[in-house]
Amino acid sequence: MNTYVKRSSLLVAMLMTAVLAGVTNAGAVANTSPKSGGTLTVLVVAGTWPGLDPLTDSTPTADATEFNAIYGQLFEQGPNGTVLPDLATGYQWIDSHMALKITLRHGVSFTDGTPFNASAVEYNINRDLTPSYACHCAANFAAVSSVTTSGNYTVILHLSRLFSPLPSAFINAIPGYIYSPTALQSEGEQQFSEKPVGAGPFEVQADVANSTLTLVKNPGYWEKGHPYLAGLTFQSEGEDSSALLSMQSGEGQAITGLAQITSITQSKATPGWQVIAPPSQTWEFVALNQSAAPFNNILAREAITYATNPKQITDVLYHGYYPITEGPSSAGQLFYQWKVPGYDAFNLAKAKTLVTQLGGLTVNLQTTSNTVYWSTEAEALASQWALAGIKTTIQVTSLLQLEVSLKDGNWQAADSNWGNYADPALALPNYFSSTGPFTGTHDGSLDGLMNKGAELVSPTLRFKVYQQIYQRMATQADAVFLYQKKLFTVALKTVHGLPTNQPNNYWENVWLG
Amino acid sequence: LRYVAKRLLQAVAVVFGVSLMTFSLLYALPGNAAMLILGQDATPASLRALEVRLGLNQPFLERYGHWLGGILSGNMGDSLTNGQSVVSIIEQRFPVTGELVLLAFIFSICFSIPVALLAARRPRRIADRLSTIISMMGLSIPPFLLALVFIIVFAVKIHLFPATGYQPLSTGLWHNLKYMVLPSLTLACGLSSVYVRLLRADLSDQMFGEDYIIFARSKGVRGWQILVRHALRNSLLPLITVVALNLGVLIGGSVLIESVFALPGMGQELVTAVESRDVTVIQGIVVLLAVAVTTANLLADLLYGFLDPRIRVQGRS
Repeated sequence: MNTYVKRSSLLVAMLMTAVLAGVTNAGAVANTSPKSGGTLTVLVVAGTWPGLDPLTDSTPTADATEFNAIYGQLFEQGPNGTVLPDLATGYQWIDSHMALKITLRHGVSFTDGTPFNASAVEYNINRDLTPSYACHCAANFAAVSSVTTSGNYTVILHLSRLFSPLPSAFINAIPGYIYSPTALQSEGEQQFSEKPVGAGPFEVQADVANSTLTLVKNPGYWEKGHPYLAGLTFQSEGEDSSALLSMQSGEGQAITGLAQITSITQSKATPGWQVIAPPSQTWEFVALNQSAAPFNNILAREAITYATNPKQITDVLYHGYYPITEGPSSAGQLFYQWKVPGYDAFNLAKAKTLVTQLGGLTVNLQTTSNTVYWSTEAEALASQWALAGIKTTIQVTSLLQLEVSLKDGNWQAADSNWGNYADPALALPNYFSSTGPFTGTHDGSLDGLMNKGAELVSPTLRFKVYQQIYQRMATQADAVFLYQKKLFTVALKTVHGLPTNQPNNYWENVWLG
Repeated sequence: LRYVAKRLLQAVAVVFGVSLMTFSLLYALPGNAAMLILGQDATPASLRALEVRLGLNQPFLERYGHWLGGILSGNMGDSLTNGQSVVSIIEQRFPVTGELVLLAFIFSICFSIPVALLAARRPRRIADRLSTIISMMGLSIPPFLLALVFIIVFAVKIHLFPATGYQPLSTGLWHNLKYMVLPSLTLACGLSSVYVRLLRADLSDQMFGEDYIIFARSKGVRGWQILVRHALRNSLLPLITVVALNLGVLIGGSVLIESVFALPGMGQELVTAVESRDVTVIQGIVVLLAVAVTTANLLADLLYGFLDPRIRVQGRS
């Protein structure tokens, strides 16, 4: 089906352009002071929310936007990867940074009327970290040895080792979403996953898993005057064109998850629509397996890095929407630095020389069939590499098969994007430490620097360490870094309050006007 | 009765074979649901824990035997990705796909029989030629594109029907139908074209080659009466065969239609389950579809006897 849809997309793009260009203004932009009321329908392309219990849901990362609306979070994402208070009012490192003290907001209740307090948070974290649940959060919370409370509004996480990115690990992740222990115990896990109880800005009215989620305003929400919306509905859409047409026909006022850049350009050209493109937390790169030929030879890694022109790829394939990067870093993350000293930026002459010196270079490039852009991007990379004399075979597989190949070490190069974490200490080791599950890099010095980056608490000192990490990766040509992949939200201009400085939509701040 | 019992036994064997084959294929594929669920957050310990919790560490025969034992005792198991029981997933999803397929079937039959009759009444005249053009268009336009054209015309331009989404029957018949008309029309289009061509050709053969038609004409029975009362009844036999065989095609087509129109049906659920390697959900849906297709074919065979008394007589003798 996917291939069929992809093939049809060119035809559809022409049809869509004509339709979208011909529409009248969807509504004049009203004044921008917040107004209460109205229901916002958000069309989520390829959105699935199998369950609404964050712990037993199989796609909690993708479902963050729905969970944020139902549960709120202990901490929210701020600009440039910063941590902002939400249901927690703050945090403090104690016991020589071996414990994290989290203070909670007073006077907050879950929508079932039970109190949001330290014992509820303690219950949540303990359940979330129970090994048999195999929480997505397990790796990021592996340093937590126990959880205690001090009074009604303080929770303390005791650590077995230093781990400074812990506050960031709560953002858009389990156990940052706190649910009512009373409701969970009385409803049972199955029913709770269909009608959960949180202390967020909205509560669940109806849910058809993976299809339509209808939320209504939580009248007892802690933040005065918020949420502005009386209702919020998430509707899953199969692909870009049906989502765009749905919004065109007036059935939705916002779209998230658009996969094709042509959908963004069409939306931008449509009167009455706006495209929100906040700074990214994800970077696209070509991972290289240094455990086997040809990339166990640094010359081969340098050759392929020199042969890659990321600017051309973003300009041609992505209409310049994605800024390039020379390291594992995006503008929405902490310690952002796109220009890295020592990185082998595009230089075709040097690439050719190295390929000649190597006596030729043949590469197997793996990518996934999940979305159309990956196979197109792989073809573009192969074309650029061909100019330097590098022969490439492209292997497009399912995401699962790619994961299996990476885990088994049965790969040479893989075009993927990973990340979506504000703090690089949470994602980098997965792909670049010697023991990471998807790593192709085995560099003791880099391991040491990454450990140091995760131990230090001072932001200034950490920034220096991450600059060293980026530089080390550049000089070792550990990967070919391409661009910072953005997540777009398309909305009518009558939808206000969507954030432009960080990549997550917090629906309690959104209003219609 | 003996014939029905024999066919039922065959159907059980088919369903068993389909379930075993699906299970084997899923087992043979690299990776599993645990890997996909944990994705980039996987650690060896959490991966092992999840495999144990989901029963993915068990050998093939034990897993299949466990699933089969559950099915025989009326328990289809729970989804590996969200813990929801497969029965409740099917209860949620089946009405959507069932309604989509039923409406598509009704639309295709309601369109194809009158059009085929009009075309066969006067071959090579305007109605016949028009029916040929419409059928060819219906067969040539990809359903995906047709769906978007329908959405643009009927939802974006005329605002007659919603573009995408679904409302259950419990919200009111008209409210529900508003969401189902465009998807079922899209699904019906390709089928109607096949039915029109098939029925028109068979009706023409009957009208110009069969003795009983000449006999009826000689008795002074009027053309329309011959066509509807005599020729159509005989031509329905091959149509029923194709309709029954096409049930699988209809259900397969519903996967794409559900995706484009954002209908929470079994097709969409099946795609999601396959992507997440949710074996119990895949098995549950595949078995249900196998039962539906074998039942439809059995019913078609029984309908032959009802429509053609000669088949009943042959069966008795």
